[in-house]
Amino acid sequence: MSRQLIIFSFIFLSSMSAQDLPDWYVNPPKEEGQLFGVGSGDLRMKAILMALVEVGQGRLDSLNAQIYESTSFAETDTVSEIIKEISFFSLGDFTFNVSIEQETMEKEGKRTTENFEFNIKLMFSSKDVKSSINYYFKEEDEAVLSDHLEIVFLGMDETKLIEELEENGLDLKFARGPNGDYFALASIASDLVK
Amino acid sequence: MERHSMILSLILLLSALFAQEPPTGGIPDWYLDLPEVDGKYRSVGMGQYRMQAVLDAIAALEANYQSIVEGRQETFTNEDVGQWDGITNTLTTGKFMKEYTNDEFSLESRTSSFIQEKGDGSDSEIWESFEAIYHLKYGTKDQEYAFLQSFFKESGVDMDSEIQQKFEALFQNMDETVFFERLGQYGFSFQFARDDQGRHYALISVDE
Repeated sequence: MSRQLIIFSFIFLSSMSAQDLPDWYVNPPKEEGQLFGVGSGDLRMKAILMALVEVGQGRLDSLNAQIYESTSFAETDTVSEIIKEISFFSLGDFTFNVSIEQETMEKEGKRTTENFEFNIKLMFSSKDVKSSINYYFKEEDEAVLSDHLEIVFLGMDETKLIEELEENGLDLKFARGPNGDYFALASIASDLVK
Repeated sequence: MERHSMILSLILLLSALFAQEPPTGGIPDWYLDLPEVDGKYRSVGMGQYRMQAVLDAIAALEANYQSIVEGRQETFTNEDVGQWDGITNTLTTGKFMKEYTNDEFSLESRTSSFIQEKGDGSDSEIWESFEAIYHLKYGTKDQEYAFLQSFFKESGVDMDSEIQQKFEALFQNMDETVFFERLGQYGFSFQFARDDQGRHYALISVDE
């Protein structure tokens, strides 16, 4: 899992104790030739998207682009770092895009996250059936400015979407925590993810 | 003209029947014959997708119990060329879901049917068209929003008709799980099944 999403998951799970979490979430399985990803969220669909982010990042060439900027301010003894990452993968008729941007500030040896945002897009298109899922999250100075999920289905629904993911080789497993939060485990043969 | 009204009624009935596929195995008993349960409002629906079946079941619930139907029927006869046209439009605003969910869920449907008969007696040719759109909206102040829409159209000459169906759904800050949870909070419960052809069936139930 990328550093940025580890942070996001940490924020989300900070109110939970380890025993509230499914075993496979705490210790995701490992198997040669298989990619695994776990995700969590207040909606089942968000948990699926997060798990897919991890599946994509499990590939050797997962990162398609990374931009790193570092600026030092001598007067105030601060260092600003901006990291932008864009990754993309396809799975049969699905395409998956993730862009993450994080700005951190280091002052007198103390590091703080100033801005953090990510955008996840899962698209599916086959004949006259389409779906588009877009999840955008933005946090600034530890305040959540946007947490928006939009799902559009044309000629399908969520049940059909999950069936299509499974038909494309993805195995999904779900669990729910005591607070109603969702956990998802996704696994797939690594050669099916392009 | 009485005959034409009968034909129109028949078309509406046939159109409803055409929406259903031929019977196959695995259709749940409760879909074929829904038993009444004291103290419960219940209805069933069917669709290619699970949410389409849910929308169909909600539309049936509205139709069975409470809805306001506005309709308009027009007929045109041209004796010179032996042609008769009939147009019927309806707009149905559901009250049931609104009342049970504090206006958070609302269902509307529009139907439109057109029939044209040319000629007389057994030589006459009938062209018919029927279309129906159902949409269910859900929205709250905390920005959860859902919109489900089902479209059905059948048109053609006599029994040689063409059917078009579309289903669309939009969810914002929620997904289908939340959709069912919100309905569950208002006392609605669901039962689902699939037949051998993969079609979905839904039974919706709520206390009177």
